[in-house]
Amino acid sequence: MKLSQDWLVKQSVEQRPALLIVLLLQCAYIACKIGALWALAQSFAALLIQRQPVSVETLKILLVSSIGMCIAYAVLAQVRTQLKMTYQQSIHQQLSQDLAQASQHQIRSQSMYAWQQIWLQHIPTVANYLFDFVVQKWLSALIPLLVIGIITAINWLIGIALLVTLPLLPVFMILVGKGTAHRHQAHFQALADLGTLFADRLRNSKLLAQFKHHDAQAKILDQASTAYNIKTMHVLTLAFVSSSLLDFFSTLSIAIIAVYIGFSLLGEIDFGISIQFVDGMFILLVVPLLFAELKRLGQLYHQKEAAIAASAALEVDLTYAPTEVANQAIARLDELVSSTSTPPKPHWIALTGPSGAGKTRLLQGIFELLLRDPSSLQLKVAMLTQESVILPGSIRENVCLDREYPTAEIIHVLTQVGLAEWLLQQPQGLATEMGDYPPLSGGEARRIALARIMLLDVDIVLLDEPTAFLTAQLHNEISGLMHTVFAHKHVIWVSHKGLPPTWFTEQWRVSESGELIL
Amino acid sequence: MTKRLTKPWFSFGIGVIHQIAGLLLVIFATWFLAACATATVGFNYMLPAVAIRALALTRIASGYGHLWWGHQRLFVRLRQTRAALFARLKNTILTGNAELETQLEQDTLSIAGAWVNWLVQHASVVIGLILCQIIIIVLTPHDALIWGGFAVTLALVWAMLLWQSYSVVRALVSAQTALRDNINHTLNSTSLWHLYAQTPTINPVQYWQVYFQVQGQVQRGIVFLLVLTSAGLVYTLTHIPDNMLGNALLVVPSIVFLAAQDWALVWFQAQPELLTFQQSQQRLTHISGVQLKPDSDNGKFEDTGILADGIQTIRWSKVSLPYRQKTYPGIQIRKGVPLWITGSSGSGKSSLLEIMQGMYPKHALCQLNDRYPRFGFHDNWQLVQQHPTILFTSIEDNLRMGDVTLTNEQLQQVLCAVGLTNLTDQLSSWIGGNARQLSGGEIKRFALARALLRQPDVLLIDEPFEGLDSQNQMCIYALISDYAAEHCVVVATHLFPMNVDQDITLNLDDVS
Repeated sequence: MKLSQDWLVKQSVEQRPALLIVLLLQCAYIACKIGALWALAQSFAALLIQRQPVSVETLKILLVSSIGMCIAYAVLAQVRTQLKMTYQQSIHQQLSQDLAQASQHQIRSQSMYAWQQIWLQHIPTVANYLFDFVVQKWLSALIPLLVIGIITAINWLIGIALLVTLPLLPVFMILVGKGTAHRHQAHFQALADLGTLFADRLRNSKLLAQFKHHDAQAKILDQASTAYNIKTMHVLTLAFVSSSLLDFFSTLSIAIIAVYIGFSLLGEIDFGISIQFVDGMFILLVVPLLFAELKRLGQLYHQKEAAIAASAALEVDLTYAPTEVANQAIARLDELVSSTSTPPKPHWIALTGPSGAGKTRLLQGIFELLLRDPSSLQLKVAMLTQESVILPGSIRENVCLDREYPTAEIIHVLTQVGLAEWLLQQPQGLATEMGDYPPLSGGEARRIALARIMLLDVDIVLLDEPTAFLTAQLHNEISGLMHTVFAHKHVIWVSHKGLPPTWFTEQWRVSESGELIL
Repeated sequence: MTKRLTKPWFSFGIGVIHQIAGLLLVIFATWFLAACATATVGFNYMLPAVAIRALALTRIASGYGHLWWGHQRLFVRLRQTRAALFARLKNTILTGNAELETQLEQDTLSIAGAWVNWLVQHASVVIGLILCQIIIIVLTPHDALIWGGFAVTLALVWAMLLWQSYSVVRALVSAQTALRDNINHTLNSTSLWHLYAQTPTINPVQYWQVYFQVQGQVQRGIVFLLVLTSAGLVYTLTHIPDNMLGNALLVVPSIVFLAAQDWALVWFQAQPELLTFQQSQQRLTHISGVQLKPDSDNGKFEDTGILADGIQTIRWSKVSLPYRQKTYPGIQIRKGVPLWITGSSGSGKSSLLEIMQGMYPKHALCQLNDRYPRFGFHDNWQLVQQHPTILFTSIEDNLRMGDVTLTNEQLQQVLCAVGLTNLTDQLSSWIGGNARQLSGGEIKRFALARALLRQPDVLLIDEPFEGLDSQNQMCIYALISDYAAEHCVVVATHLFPMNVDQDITLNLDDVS
């Protein structure tokens, strides 16, 4: 959590120029508004005291500042959106680069839903935090000072009174922050706990149906809701007081100032400073601005909480660190490949070891090293894992991915992996879409995966239990096929299921403690 | 009394009072100042001063009240919405997005929050507009038309933006779905990335554009509001009848226009809230799921006497897999001998077990002993799934789901039988959810224990040996064999801890 906040702070420092632009536009908007209020007070004075129509000069000021206000707001909205978009794209770019460098294992370490939330929610949340909340924070310190300055210049008594009798502004801000934070915490915790329970029961609908337990759970959920509601309302009763404070002061200040200025205009009270109607009216009109920005900050407070959660979610560890064992394996591989006689002889390596010792991790490590640093070995690598991935596109797209091959070559390869007959059965041949429920058996999906690799001109193939989820018979078939099609390539093969030892030129073992025994 | 205070109209009314009191305070305070400046002898200043303070207090009190009762209302509504949804989804298996449940949790929240978040806001603006119209007609009738025009125009702009937003929401939902699919497909194919010429990337820009379009609508509405109120302000100041000069009431129309800049703002600001509400409402009405037809709905076959001496044999014929063009010849099981279903991943083992349990009644014809009952979902036929789920509650509540009268000794006994002795002394501790997590193998055995406690007539088990060490595999194998001696049992597995007779296995790879 601490770390995430640091990251957020760093972001706001990096984005400072952009944030200052937004702040400047906000200030321009408020300056125009104050100008319009001043012109309005002048107009009232003319109409009421001098009993004359509003002068052209005053109207000019009113018009110019009103138009300025509208334009400033429109530009602000546009610029803010643009800046948010640019920022979101920069984060996206950074994340995409990290993703391209990350290992499969790292990407799989969090759920698909968590990944979706990053683009759908978290990145926009951080942008909102920076360009709404952070700017608003500065604004809510800046504008009250400006307003108090203006009021003091007109009537120092009211100015001082506002500054002193109202809680000091910094104290005020902390109060608001703490009050809102407290309220949010209690509120969100209760909602989150209830939500977890509710989503859990929905998720288990099959289980509840099977045990005829639905009605009992409905009752439990209802009881939990009621209990939570009562408990949370107790906490909130106090928390609301602190968040009502702003409303309290802003309302009270309008009432008190109206009565005070009104009475001194009547001559009923006299503090020694006479006040003109025009000044009094202007002060009354401008006083709400003293609190408006602070109020808005309170409304935006949830963005801070959301951004902290978002930055925690964005902190996925995607850094790459080669393991010692992987380096060891690469060194051995280097030795083998460079000492190869002419004509080059392919090396077939069987990688064995007890389950849980880290064979898959080692193979991944070798793969990452070969992929990242082709200079040392100059070996083009392909890897086949346990699971079959079938894309929703056509068969051609599934086999070629984003490359292009002549149709004859594709059909040749599919024939080699034994899919010729299957292809004939497909209604649109190579153009058949696979969709969400591809018409493939486990074995056929494996053959597609083989075809993908065969189309590429790779030097070494890493096989991570490619037959894990197949029956014994299919295991024999597919293994035999791989033995044939990869006969001229280097192979490192991890398998729990039996393979003929004669296929292999070398045996590597990973011991229980994770060491590599060559 | 307290009952009446939780009624919806109360929190609603108090929210509206809060907004209106604020509006009236500003109008009244400005008028008071003007009246003091132009006061003639005998002006009664005490009454307005008291009224101002009264309005201020009303606003403050109703502000706190709105917070309190608004949240109270939110919680009550949330409880009701969720209870209704939960009741509606009884015996329904949700299909679609894997995280639909989390989505529904959020949806019910936004539906419950609609009351506080936009209904009160919108109502306050409408009432404010009408109230101002009345005030202006009574006090300064010469400006009645211009305010009326403003109010109607504003309402039209708002309605137009809302109308547009319907299509924007649709675009937003489809862009969101597209992005979710895009992320799923891209990240699910990480094992292929190295085979591509260009590493595939995710493209969120289109979704973000639509997302900002929604924001843009709000901002356009606010700019409209600013332009209209500014125009109204200038108009009222320049069109004062001569007889009004010096009359304090002339400030009222201008102040009303000025104040509208603040309080009518929420009308547009709350619009995204309204859109979220619509979106959630839509999702809630279109939940896709498979409705399980419990057997009690389809001619109770206990009454037919088939079960009088228990199920001896079950035969399924005309079995077809959902979403796949695969059919099987008849499958038969009998009491005393388990049926072992094997086959590669994707061959349909799990679907077949679900069909056997009656989840897809149209996909098989079932025959018990020699009778044909109308077939549906059997809750006394237990299916232990490949990835079983655990209720986020205590261990004992999980185990007692089927029968609350089970004693602790019975629970402990069955936990020992499946090799989960370590759980026997912590029956009251919570598991699942964000409590203690069990490992994959432990969850499997836990689910088996839970199913066994119900003594089901038919026990269907999906991949019981996966993720277990050989000792535990043997233990579970013995347990299954024991249970099969007196009941009908089907096991789907690609692992065999022992050699099993060929004639009691069914290899789905062999079936086309």
